[in-house]
Amino acid sequence: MSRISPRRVALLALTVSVQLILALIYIIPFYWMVIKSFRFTIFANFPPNLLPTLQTVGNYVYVWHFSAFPHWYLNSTLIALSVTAASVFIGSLSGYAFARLRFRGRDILFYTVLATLMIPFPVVIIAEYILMVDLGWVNTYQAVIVPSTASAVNVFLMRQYFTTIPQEVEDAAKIDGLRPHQIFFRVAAPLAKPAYAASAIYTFIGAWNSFLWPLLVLHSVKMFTLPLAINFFKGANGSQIYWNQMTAAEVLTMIPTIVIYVVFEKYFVKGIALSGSKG
Amino acid sequence: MKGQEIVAARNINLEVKDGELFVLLGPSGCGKTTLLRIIAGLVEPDEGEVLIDGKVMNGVYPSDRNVAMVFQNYALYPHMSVYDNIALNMKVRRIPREEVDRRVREVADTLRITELLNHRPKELSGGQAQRVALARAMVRNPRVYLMDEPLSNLDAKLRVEMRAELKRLHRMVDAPIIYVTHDQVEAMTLGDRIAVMDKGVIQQIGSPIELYENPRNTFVASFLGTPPMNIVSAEELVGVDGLKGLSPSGSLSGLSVGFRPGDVAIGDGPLSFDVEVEYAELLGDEVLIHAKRGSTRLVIRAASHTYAGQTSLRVRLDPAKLYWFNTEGEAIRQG
Repeated sequence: MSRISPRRVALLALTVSVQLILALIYIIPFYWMVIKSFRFTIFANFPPNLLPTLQTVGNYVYVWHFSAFPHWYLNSTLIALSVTAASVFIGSLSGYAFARLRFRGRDILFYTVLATLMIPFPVVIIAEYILMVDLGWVNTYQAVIVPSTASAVNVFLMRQYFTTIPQEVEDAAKIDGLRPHQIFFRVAAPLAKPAYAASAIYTFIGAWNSFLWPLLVLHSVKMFTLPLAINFFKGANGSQIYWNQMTAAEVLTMIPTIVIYVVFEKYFVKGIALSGSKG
Repeated sequence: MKGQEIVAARNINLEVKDGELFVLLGPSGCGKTTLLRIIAGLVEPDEGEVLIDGKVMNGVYPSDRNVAMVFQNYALYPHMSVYDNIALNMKVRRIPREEVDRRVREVADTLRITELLNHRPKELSGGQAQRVALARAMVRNPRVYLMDEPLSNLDAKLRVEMRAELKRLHRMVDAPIIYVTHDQVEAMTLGDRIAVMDKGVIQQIGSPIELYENPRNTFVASFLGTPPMNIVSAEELVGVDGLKGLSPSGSLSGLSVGFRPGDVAIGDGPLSFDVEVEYAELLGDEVLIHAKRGSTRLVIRAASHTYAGQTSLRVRLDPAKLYWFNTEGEAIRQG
């Protein structure tokens, strides 16, 4: 029987406790949000009452029936799905071009696209807003959707994956009579399914959770997406926050992302692994 | 003349005839695969023309050249079944479904892969994958077959099997096969004609036996044959009785002399000299003796019973089997 030295036991205990503390820091607010959404009282006390209690589902009923919540849900779904479809499609086309086509200035262009990742969003936010005003797009769906369709992250992720598909397979397709667009749709794209899945998930969640840009360009209440709508559960002038209703709205807002995470968990990991693969 | 002419870059003038298995042989990086890709249309040559049946093919899309290619790594479509891999070309050309099915099953039968038609490429062994790749090429009935080291990913035993299979298939098709390999045994056993390439230049073209018996230079001489021909500076053999008289220039300076390992015999006589044995490899009937004379190393192939483990030997050359090369390595005169 092998004996573990006391030193190793101490180290292990330390590691586990640090991990446990970190996990609690992340989990407690979620936990509190969930139990709060089932309580009568609208106030949030400090220190919070963390006892698991199920007093009422009335908050959910209220949120769903007595606010425009279903409509906001629809807005969010429409926007997130459109952004995902457009961004992944465009990202895969340009990623493929950067991976496989030969044209002058390709690499410079690619690194320029990558460099846009280094620019913080607030730097371009005013210019982008003025553009929306000039286009007359303020308070429209396209104001939220269109600027998000060009995603350097997706271009990068897809390019990395396409470079791993053997050139010989595409050569074989050329000899088999497939034209370049057919090679893309019938050979390269089906082989890149994991990359499509990974970038679709990231894009969807990003679009679903997006707050700042929709806040700027969507003005009327009926155009709101869920992250904006949650704000509604502060009373007039923010004088009173209806914590129990607000947390119910938050739980409802989180459900799609949690479902996606649970169903596609392996692609999350793959996505991280992909973007770290060879350049 | 019936047949086709294929002209490639680097002043290469190659002509491949119907029914011929033409081998491009050379070490890796010698340009043979590039030449094949130029013929396929996957790479456009900087200059020069590719002709098939007298028609210039430059700028013609690969599939419109009516060539089929078999790749070293099989290059099967991983997301399609074996059946779809074979049928893709015909589907793209919108050939009726029944016709596609008939031809896929026919070629699968010829290559004995019928029971694999519903499998995915990742479920196949190397030999099976290579058969599918061959089936994909054959089903199209192409004007030219291009094969890029098709056997080099197979293990030794399977390679010999597939070599026999290729010979059988070659007899069944009329179209010429252009076959790229770095394996001279493959080239010798399969090829009707061989072009030996080095550094992007064709060194010599001819039948296997022509190349073996009349190599144009030291590169060809040492590339064909296992173990390769011994090529030694003639000056190292000064003093060997009778050698000077055989020299084409009447002198030994500036010349190299070549002889195949099997053309050296153990024993005394004219053209004999002493060598020191470094080690010997027993192959059964015969033995390969790795020997040294001064700074020159040479290999001798002898019948096992003639060698009893001596550390020094007297060996003699066959005067009819000597090759002479000048300082540039070009052959001067045989015999």
